[in-house]
Amino acid sequence: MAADTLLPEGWELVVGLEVHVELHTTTKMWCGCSTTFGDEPNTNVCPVCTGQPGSLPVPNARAIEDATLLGLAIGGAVAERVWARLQRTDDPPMTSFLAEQLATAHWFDQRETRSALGWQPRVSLEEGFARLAASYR
Amino acid sequence: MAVLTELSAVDLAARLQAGEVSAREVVDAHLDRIAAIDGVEADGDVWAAKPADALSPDETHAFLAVTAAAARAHADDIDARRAAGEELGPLAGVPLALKDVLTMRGAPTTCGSRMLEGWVPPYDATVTARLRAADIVVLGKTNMDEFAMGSSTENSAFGNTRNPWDLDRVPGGSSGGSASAVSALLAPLAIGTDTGGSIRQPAALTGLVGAKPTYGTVSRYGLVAFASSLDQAGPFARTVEDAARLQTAIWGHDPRDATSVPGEVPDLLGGLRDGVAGMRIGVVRELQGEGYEPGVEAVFAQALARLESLGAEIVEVSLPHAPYGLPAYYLIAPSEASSNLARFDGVRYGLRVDAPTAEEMNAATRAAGFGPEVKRRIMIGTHALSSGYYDAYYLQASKVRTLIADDFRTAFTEVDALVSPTSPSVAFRFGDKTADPMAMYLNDVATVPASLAGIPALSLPAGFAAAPEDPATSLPVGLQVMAPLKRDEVMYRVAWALEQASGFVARPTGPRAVGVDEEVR
Repeated sequence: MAADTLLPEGWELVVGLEVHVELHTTTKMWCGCSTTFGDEPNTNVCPVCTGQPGSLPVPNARAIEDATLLGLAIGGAVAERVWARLQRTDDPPMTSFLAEQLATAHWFDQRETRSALGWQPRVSLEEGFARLAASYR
Repeated sequence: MAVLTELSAVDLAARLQAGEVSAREVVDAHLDRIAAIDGVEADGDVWAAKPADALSPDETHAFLAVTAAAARAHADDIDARRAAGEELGPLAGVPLALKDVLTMRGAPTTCGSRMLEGWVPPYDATVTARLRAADIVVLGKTNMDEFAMGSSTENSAFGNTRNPWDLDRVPGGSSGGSASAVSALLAPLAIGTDTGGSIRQPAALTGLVGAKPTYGTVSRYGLVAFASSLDQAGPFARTVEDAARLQTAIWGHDPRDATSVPGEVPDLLGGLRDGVAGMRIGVVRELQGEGYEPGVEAVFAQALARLESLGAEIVEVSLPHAPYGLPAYYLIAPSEASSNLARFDGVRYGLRVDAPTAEEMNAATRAAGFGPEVKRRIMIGTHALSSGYYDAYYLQASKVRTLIADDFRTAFTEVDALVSPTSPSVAFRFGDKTADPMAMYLNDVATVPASLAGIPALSLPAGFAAAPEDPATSLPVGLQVMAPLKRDEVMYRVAWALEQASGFVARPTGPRAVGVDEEVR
């Protein structure tokens, strides 16, 4: 497998997919404009979708409902139920917890730790990247 | 025949309904007065204001653009429909001045900024559409502090608007143009917007009634955003009843504004004349004393005595966190502004200053298009929201905001309404506070607590006081009435009772006051 040649020793490949699905709504996400394709150019536009000063977006309730339903279906809940039905005790490859973690930006502000406790990271950012690069060679 | 420009909206509407006068005559009378005293080039379909350096010291400069042809056409249409027996709204045919922060199809909207000079919006704000539906005739767009940031209208990119009571003084701000228009008898009604006091403070400084309705009851669709969680449009008028009628015409739920309050809004007119006998009215301990001019305090004390003589019980209440309102406001509002004003990038509308790369074009456009106060607030807001400072500034200010809202909730368990002076000072001279942003921001000290809490508040004229530096002056002083959330009818009821008792006439007088109609004609 190609992954074996790319991954450092002891690493496992877990892939989270960000899936873009077009929802079959009759109006756009933030305004009441039609989503019909093939209409005359510049007809399905309004002050909201052109971002005119003073305009305000209102989210499409149907789109939120549909996206939530889809998310509930594939965001781990389905796989987790299949695993449960099969009475498997290990985690499925994608769980709702993992999906949430993957979708969240993880970063930590160390400024206060540095100034109050004099803390320094054991491995600097530059060195960390250098080690990572070295591990690929 | 009465002088049409001196009549209240209610009076005009009655005469229009009775057929004594046509909408066209009413509109023409106001356009004539604008042409005579406001400093506009009165030709073409849309009259432009003169450039700032071409204005004379006697011109009010309330309007940036006068939509003369559209106003006349609307008036003719109203007259035709009335003649045909059509049922028209209660204010049909009454003219109005619209703050230049609200969009109106076919009329320029500048927000007092070079950034939007020449931009003609392709749509009507909900407020504008409702005015049209009520057959209230928009005369034009009024001057304002750039993007509604200021308390004197001196931050407009298009020159100073003058106070009709003393043309050497500011009309307040940011809705200074709307206030000046109604006070100078250029229109009986105007729409302003209030983020931290931008309707109430200019109303106080020009002897008008000005109301900030409960947040979320007047649609913000088409109101170019300054601070979205605070912005609210509202009425200016020369009488309490006129203001209540205008608010009635524009408010109510709007599906185009996601922050619009669902459900019915209260009836402002049914109980307007019920009086204050038996009401408990609270005086806010923290909104008086140090920083308020003695003349303002004297008028306030007199108003309290009047309320008592009308049968109200006056009690002192405390809003312990109100003193932190101003600093919290000046973090929250610039934070939201820094985000809202990001859209002015030179790409889609308004000003563009060309440069080799897109990023340089953005920077050059914003450097040239925004004035100093707008830049200051964008910088403050960007800093307050930046990583590492968000918790210390914006989040902390948001907590203070919640505490202030709680203070009001507690106070309103004891009293029906609260009163305070609207502004710590009477109208000041041009340039008096422009060098010191803090001095300017202190204008809002009494108005921001209600803004942060979202509650309705209005200012009405309560009397006169001299400017501290000139004992010969006699300038209007405003009183602020605050009511619980969605109880706007309470503030109007208190204001109406006080108005009747004070006998204040909103007609500028004094050695430097704007000329009245007889002199102008």
